[in-house]
Amino acid sequence: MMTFKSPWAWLLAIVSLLCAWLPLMPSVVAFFDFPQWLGTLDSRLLLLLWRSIWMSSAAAIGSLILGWPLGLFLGRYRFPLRSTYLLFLPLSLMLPPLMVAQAWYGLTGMSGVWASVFSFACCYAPLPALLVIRSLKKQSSASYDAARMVSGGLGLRLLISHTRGAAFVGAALCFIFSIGDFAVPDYFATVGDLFHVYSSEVFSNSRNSDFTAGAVSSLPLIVISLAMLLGLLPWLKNQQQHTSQQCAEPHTVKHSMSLSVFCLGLTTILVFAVIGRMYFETGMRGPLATSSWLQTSSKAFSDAFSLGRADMIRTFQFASIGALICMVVAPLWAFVFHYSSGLKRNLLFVLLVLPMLIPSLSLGFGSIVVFNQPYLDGFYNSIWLPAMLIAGRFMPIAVLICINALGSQAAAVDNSAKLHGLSIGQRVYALFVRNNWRACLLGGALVFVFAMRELDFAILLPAANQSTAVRYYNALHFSRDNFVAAFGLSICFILFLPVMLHSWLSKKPS
Amino acid sequence: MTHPILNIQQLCKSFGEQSVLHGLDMQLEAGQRIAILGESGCGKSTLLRVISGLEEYNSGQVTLEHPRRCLMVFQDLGLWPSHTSMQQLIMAAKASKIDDAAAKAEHLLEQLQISHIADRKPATLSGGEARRLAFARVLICQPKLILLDEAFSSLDADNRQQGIELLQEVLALSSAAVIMVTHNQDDATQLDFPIFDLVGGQLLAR
Repeated sequence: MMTFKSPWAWLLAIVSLLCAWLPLMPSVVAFFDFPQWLGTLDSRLLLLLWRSIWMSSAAAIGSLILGWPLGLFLGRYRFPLRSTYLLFLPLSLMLPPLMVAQAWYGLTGMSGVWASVFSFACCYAPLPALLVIRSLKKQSSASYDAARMVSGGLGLRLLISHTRGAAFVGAALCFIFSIGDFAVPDYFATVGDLFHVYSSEVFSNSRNSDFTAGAVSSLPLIVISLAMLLGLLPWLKNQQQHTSQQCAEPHTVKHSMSLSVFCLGLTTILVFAVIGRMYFETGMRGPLATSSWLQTSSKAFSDAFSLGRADMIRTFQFASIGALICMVVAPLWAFVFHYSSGLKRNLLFVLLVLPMLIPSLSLGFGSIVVFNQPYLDGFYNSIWLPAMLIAGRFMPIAVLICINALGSQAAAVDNSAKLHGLSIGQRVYALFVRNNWRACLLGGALVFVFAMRELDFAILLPAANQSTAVRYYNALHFSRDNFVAAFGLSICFILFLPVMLHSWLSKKPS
Repeated sequence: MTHPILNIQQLCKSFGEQSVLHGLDMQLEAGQRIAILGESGCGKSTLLRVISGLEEYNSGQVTLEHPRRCLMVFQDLGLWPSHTSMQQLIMAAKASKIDDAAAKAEHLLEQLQISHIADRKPATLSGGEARRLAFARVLICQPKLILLDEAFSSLDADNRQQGIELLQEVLALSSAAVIMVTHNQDDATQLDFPIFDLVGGQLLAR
């Protein structure tokens, strides 16, 4: 439907190439040398890799334990405060993992690998929860009600089997994001017993400026993520088959108050405890301090705004540009997917999501290798480079939201446009985007949110060094606890704004 | 004999293992109007989608004399939700390179007695108004072939009668050929269209 004669196809190809695929090239090239590189893996590296794998697997299981029941209850039952929990659920996904780690260390004093496991599980538990809720929205009303009429237990069993795929996809994503993250294990290794994971080894290449080695050394993480992604494809397909025109609605249950308390407990673990602890830390004082908690807290927030303002503005700039690029290109990608099938669709899917699933460190190293050239000096040091990488890395989020919106639109709307001879640009922008602007805006907002919390490649790229995440990381390592907590909470507030905005817009009629 | 505007030879279409159209032959001349009847799932809508180019086929040949003048009225109409009636007509006309689109759109709305919905979006229209708009959007493109996909299947008996009267009214404004697929023989009989049965993936004249 979109051939390379179309200027839109060229736009799509050029943006994807520049933003997403070029930075992957050094790692892809290394892939062809993989057998030779495999020989250089010594026992220490293998141990680190094994530790990363089991740590991420445990985090994925943890995210299932926390997220699956939460998703089931919020998606299927009505009980007091349900809408409040639904509002706060995505927030835990937006909290920077480092902040979650800091808060739980402050609350419990935990450290070591298991502390990383717990932090990652908390950070990514909303993924299975949100996917389970989405899957429940497509459950056939008739089959669910029929099972419930036989017995409550059968209804629950049907719920579990219906949402199994979605929950596992969420857990797999938790695994992929955890295995590439170096900052959280690094933090727990700093505050407690020293330990290393494989991503720390990848990051250590930046200390001796060996960026090509950095891109190459992240290869096992890319291969693991790719294998996980390919494993996910049948599950994703299975999810699409579980759709029904007449969908089951959430219903009330006998023990609604107990459910509410249970969900409050989980939401507290995921969100309220973290935010509460961070707020408490903004006013924490030493034994000889003369100021009150409130005075210390106020000063911390004042410092956060005055010292972090420049970082926030710069992050705002590249995050906004990245989000805008995604809002323009994602609808085109969605159309390409919608009208492709079979092997072509799977291949496109892998190409699209790979930049998001590989460790952010690889993307950072790859960008340095590709773009740090004398003739690209101006570009390399401008905000355009981080903006492009943000767009490339988080494009899949915006695209998946657009695909969902396109799938919900009556097929005849676009078919009639096609038959009337409307160009692909008119069909995408004049019809689809105009009709689904909320979905496009949500995609852009989520890209913006993830850009704000992006740390790993921001540390590596000089153009992204002046960002909120890097400022947070540095301040945390210099033990400026009040400032860190206040700055983290300020970031949280900014990240939460798009969610509030979307929630508010969703209640307004078209 | 006039030149056929649609010529289908040995058309085969299958979905996986399931063969839907099996060596289907068909010719349609300019202005000719026919109805195709068949059970649910026999491939009626698939045939229209193949003719319109929305669906690929496995083998055979489908030749349309005016591929850009072949339009379809869908079962759920396929109106563009974010555009007013007038905007829909103008957009469709411009895409079909029709001159003086605004004036023609206004005239057509008048002819179909829906001038009052010119500035309204589909969500605010009644079922009858929406149906008239869908026909208007097809007519403004000066079609040579109109495909009607179960145009009345979602209507109850009273509205179905009104729908058929509307279609007669609309078709009087055009000289286009028409292929109407339906599973209801009464629709075809009332419109006085020659009936063909789609059985075993092939068309059989009655």
